[in-house]
Amino acid sequence: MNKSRIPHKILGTVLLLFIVCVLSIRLGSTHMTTDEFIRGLLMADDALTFSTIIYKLRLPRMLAGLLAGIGLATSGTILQSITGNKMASPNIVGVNSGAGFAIILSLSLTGISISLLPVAAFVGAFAATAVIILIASRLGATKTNVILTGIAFSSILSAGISLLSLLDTDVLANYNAFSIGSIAVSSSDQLLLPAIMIAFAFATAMFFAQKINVLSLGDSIAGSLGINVRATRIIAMLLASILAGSAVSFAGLLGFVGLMSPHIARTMVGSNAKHLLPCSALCGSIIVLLADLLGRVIFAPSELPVGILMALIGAPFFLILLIKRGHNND
Amino acid sequence: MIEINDLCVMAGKKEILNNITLSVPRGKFTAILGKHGSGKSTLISCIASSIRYSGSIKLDGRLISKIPPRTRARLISVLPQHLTSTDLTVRELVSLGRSAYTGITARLSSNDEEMITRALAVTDMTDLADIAVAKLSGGERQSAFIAMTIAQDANVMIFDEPTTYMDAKRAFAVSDLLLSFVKSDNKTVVAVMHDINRALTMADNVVVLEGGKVIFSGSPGQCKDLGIPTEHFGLTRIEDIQGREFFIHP
Repeated sequence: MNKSRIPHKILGTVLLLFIVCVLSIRLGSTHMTTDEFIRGLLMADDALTFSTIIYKLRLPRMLAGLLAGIGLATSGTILQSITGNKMASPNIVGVNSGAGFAIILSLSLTGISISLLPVAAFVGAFAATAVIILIASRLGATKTNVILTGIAFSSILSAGISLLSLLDTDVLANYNAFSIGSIAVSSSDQLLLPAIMIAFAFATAMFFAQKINVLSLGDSIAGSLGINVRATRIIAMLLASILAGSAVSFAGLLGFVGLMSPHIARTMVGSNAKHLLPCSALCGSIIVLLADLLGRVIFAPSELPVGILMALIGAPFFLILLIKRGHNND
Repeated sequence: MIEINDLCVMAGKKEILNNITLSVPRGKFTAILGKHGSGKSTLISCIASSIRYSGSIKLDGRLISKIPPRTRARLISVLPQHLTSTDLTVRELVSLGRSAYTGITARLSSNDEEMITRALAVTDMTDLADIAVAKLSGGERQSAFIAMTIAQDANVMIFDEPTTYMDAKRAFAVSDLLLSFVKSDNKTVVAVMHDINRALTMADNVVVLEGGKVIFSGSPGQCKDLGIPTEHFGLTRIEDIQGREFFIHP
């Protein structure tokens, strides 16, 4: 890995994200010419319809994609580092299901305010992560055990989500969209609390980058290098839970972003968390926004939820990883 | 000096280490020998405080388990036998050896950079510094982790079979390097070794474990005089044409 080229690669990824963000606002089921788009952006008097579409529909959607990508990709990067398992991601190890279960439970039992859903999602995500790590530790905490425990626990939580949805027709109505995953948010206000939580967790993760690197070497070496392994692991889990939980609270159970982004970023900047975390976050946002854009453009004027496209891209990606892993083990 | 008293480790109902009492002298090379399953790696894990145990392990009179991790890392480094395959580059890995010295931003000082460069040089890893550790051979990977441990610059350095995956040339170079830390820098080196001849030649002090107990602790000469290599390890004693004694499998 040529270290001197890393800043250029990150800058290139920022530029690509900027282009995707512009396209995300520019393109959609309502066609706009370039002139209409610019006048809409500038809120010209004769382009109020376009301004409304841009600022009320597409901008919140773009911001939701941006945030969901950062949250899920960073969460996946942290989980892969602290478990030492490249197959780990928030949806595979059960963090997403934990957040989803907490949201559905809160909606059906307490009628919680929508603005507080990110907090419920975080509690669910963290509780799920803690239980999975605890059970896996009892089983020997091997890399495979963490993943298999996560898959098993995730299935239980998914069954719980389905059960709660069936018991409450109001919840059931929202459940399908929630389980598929979508970034079609109702307004930018809905994103305020998740944005604060994701920004806080991402900044803290960057602060802990060196410790995440040390933890990726395994508990024994991390302890010898002067890291308080237990405390650092809990902090890293908290951060992964805040990031994934906040994203799930408005984007639903969006899968595979947390798996794919760290892998793509690792090929670009290597495994040093100092570079990997920001690059993975950028890749995550690009993936979510591109998938959303494709879902809007290919089937216009209808829309395909971003979660379906993510699954269509992500599932083969996961299989390729499994096959590569198999070859390496051979 | 490391003082170990009444050290016991249980795995379920099985006793892995049984009342180990041992002194590791300061500024000496101590080799730990024993057959598979004798408890060598468990003993290292106890010193590293990475597993639970009963009894006490003291470093210069202080209980190791009570020393804060960061302070402990400046005093004692432990390299386990099983090393993670990481995609970090060799240089990035070696720089992690300075974790106990860097501030909260993990920025490396010029002294840190100097230690890293030196650690890479003495382990002959400078040319591989920008390669991902995962892409190295088993022996090179071990050298990279040893370089990280050297960069840690602790006065007590503990290694669990540090040359297992190395070719003979690299293994000899690393053994000589570890010995030089004792002779030139007055560091304390403890190494679990599987090459008995090398251990008896290099070490100032030899500890032999069997079934979780210490069956011998003393100088290499005493170890040979008591017939430990022949009786315990089942080796045959021979002499080369210069009269130097060796132990080989019959």
